Amino acid sequence: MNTPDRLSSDERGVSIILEYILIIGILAVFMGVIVLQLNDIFIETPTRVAMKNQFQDIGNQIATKLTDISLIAPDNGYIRAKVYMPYAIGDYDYRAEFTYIGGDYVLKIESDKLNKIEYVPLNNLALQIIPMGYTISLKKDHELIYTSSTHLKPTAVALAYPTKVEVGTNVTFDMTYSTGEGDIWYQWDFGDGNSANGQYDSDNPSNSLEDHSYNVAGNYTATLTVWDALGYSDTDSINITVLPSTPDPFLHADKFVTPDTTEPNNPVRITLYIRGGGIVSTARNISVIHVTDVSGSMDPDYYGDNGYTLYTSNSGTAIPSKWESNITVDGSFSSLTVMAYSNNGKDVDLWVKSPDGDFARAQYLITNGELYYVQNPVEGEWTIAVVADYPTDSDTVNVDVEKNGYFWGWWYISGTLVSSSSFVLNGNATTFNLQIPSVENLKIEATPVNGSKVLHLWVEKGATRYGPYSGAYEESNGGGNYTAYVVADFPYGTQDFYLYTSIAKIDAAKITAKTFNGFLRGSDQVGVVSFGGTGGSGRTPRITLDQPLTNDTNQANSSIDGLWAYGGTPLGGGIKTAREELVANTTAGNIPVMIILSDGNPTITSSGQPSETLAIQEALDEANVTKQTTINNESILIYTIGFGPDANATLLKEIASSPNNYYFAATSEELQSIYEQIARELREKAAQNVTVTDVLPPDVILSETPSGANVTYSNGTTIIRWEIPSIRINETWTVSFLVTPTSASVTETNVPNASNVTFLPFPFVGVNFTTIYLPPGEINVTSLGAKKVELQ
Amino acid sequence: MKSMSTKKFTDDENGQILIIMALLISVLLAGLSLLYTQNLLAGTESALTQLNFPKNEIRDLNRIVEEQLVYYAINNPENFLTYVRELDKQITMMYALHGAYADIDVYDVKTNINGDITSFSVKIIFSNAVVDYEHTRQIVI
Repeated sequence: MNTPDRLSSDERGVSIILEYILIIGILAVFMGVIVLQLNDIFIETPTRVAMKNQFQDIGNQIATKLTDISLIAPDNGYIRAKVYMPYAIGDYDYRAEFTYIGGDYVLKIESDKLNKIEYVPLNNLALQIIPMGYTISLKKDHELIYTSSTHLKPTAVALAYPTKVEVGTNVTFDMTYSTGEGDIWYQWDFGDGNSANGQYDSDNPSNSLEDHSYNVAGNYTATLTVWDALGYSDTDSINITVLPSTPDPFLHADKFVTPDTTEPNNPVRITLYIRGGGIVSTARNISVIHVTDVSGSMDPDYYGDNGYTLYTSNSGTAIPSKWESNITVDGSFSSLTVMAYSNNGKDVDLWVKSPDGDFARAQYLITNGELYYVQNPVEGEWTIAVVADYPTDSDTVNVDVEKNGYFWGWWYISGTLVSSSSFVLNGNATTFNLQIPSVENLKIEATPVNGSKVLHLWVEKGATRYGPYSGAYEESNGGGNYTAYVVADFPYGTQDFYLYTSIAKIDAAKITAKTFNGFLRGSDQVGVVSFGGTGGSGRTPRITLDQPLTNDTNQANSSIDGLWAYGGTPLGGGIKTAREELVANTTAGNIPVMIILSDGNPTITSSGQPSETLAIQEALDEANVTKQTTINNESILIYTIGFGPDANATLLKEIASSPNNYYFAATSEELQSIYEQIARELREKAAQNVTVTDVLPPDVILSETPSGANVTYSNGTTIIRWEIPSIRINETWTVSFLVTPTSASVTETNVPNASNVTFLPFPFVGVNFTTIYLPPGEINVTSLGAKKVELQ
Repeated sequence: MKSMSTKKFTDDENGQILIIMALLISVLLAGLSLLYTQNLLAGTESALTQLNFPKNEIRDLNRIVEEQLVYYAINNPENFLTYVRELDKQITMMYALHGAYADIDVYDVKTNINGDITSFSVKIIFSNAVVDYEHTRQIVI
């Protein structure tokens, strides 16, 4: 009985244990299965998914940056672009590498540990760059590095003027239009067995010009070779015709391309160069109008010192005329008194130097002299110096030394006379004779150079002497013969100085315009137009035809003398008035010329608007109209002169017929030389009715519209044409523009024979035009090898 | 005894509930861990795509060289280097406002006998957090 009970009881006990064992077993199996799947489910599968996404992110990032780099890849430089990559993805490091599979460049990103590879296509980038290199994620930084290096090879451009010349006459050979990188050397082989060489100096291009003359008539080919520091070289040549007699007026035309080696689709510059040459014995007549600024800034009465301009400058050294002596001071001196005075009232200056080197000017004035006083003087040797402060003549000077004198209030009570001297002191001035034309304002000033010692100036006009002046001597309505004296008002050493003579700008303008008129012949015409202001504010325009065109230069000079300066600057109105006078009254056959002189910005329009912007625009507009105006088939030649530092050089250069026709004058002297140069430059024509035509073939694309050109297109070619009324002897006409060659080969930028220059030659009669065919303007267009980008 | 066994069995049922709850919590934790892992692995790149390559800024620099410097060289050769220096200052300041460094450095200016500039070299430098760029150009006028 007990057994079944125990059994029964054991069965329940076993049953419960078995239940637990079974449950635990089932759970263990279940957990085992889960554990086996956990790594895959929770780690590897999400890691693979994440890695795929990340690889694609990285790949896209690199591919995008590669594209960006290719879009801005410099031909000579580098790009370093950072690539951002996680250090590891799910504890797995990886590697990114450019590779080449099946004809395409791809980015391969792989993780060895996870056995995962992702390929990112680079879309066969038509980028002309080859991707290469690799990086691993464990590196600190990752970069795409693009590098490229090119060198601009030299291009030789051989120019010479004149290209037709008489035996023994100099020809100037010009290599300064050549280009290249860094230092450039050149050699000219003149074709007659002679040569010259040198190094191009970019700071002084004129040093690179070579003059050469030929002793025997004939045709010569001069060859220019230029080379750079790396040894690259280029050559160009030019033909020189040497004649036994003076050549008639002619044209020389050239065309060159810089640089002459390039890659497809890289722009290059074509320059057309035409220069007149030859000699004529009979010069032509000119009709010139002086267009003169008479605004307030031309006159010191309204514009202070800025209204002056330097007329002449002289230099000198001031040396004092002095008497010097020593006095010994001992313990018996409770005070020291030194008095210096002249007998006849000449001005004398007294200086005293103590034994310890202290140097002092006398403190007190006395009759005809000065007094120095000091209490308890330092014992020892004192030096006394008396200086003649007068330019000429002489006077007897007395010097008394006393001790123990004293002051009672303002009264000096004499002490014991220690010494007394008397001597004759001559004046000692540096003297200048000045001849000044009649001017409204004159200023003469002595200015120390390399020092600041005191100078005194006297100016003598006729029998009257004015001075002394420590500053400037100024005079209104001056002119004539002057004598200037410069005196040293110091006892020791010397002082270098300039003596500046300045006159009003309006005076300088008048003087130089009259000088120019002195170059004119009776058959030339001259006129005067002035532009300034009037009214209380000076803003009412005052544009006056002061002198219509005339053959009488005296009459023109009188009109010039009548100019006066005041108010604003309506430049545009001045140009318009001058143009209208030239159009109306230029004698047939004369060269119409306008010489514009201004010292500042236009400030008012011809209608009285006080706006600098509008006034400048008006001036430019009027200048453009003038340039397009022809008189008897002659264009109006505009010269501009900026006078003084306030002149608007940029504006005046734009107004001038060409930048070479702009001049800057800082002083009246420079202004005069400019007027003389302009007078010399107004020469005869070398060619008339000049038509310049350049025709570009279809594989050369015009990149910008050239200045002043008429551009048309026909059968794939580009026709560029300029019409020039005339080109004068020694006048240079150039134009340059960018073109882009599209195919790789040796390309000519010409259509043969179609690119030419036609003109009516000297003596400009009849209808037989001369044609000069432009050179082909070859470019060597080569494709350089693909550039590389490296992943690091 | 029987009533005692029944009570024990009731206690065992509580243990099963405990185990089942433990399993449920484990599954919940595993799910959360999966979400966390995927977030951890997949979210880091999104911000980087916002860092644009500064190609337009670099193109602008090149355009300035091609247009403005060439304009100065043609129209005002005597003041060319002065204008370039002023332009360079402005470029450096303007790019600094956008967290980048830019500089144009002109040298080797060649002129012909008329004073016209025929060519010059210019080094263009750009640098920011993403890109370093340097380009040396020979501009033929």
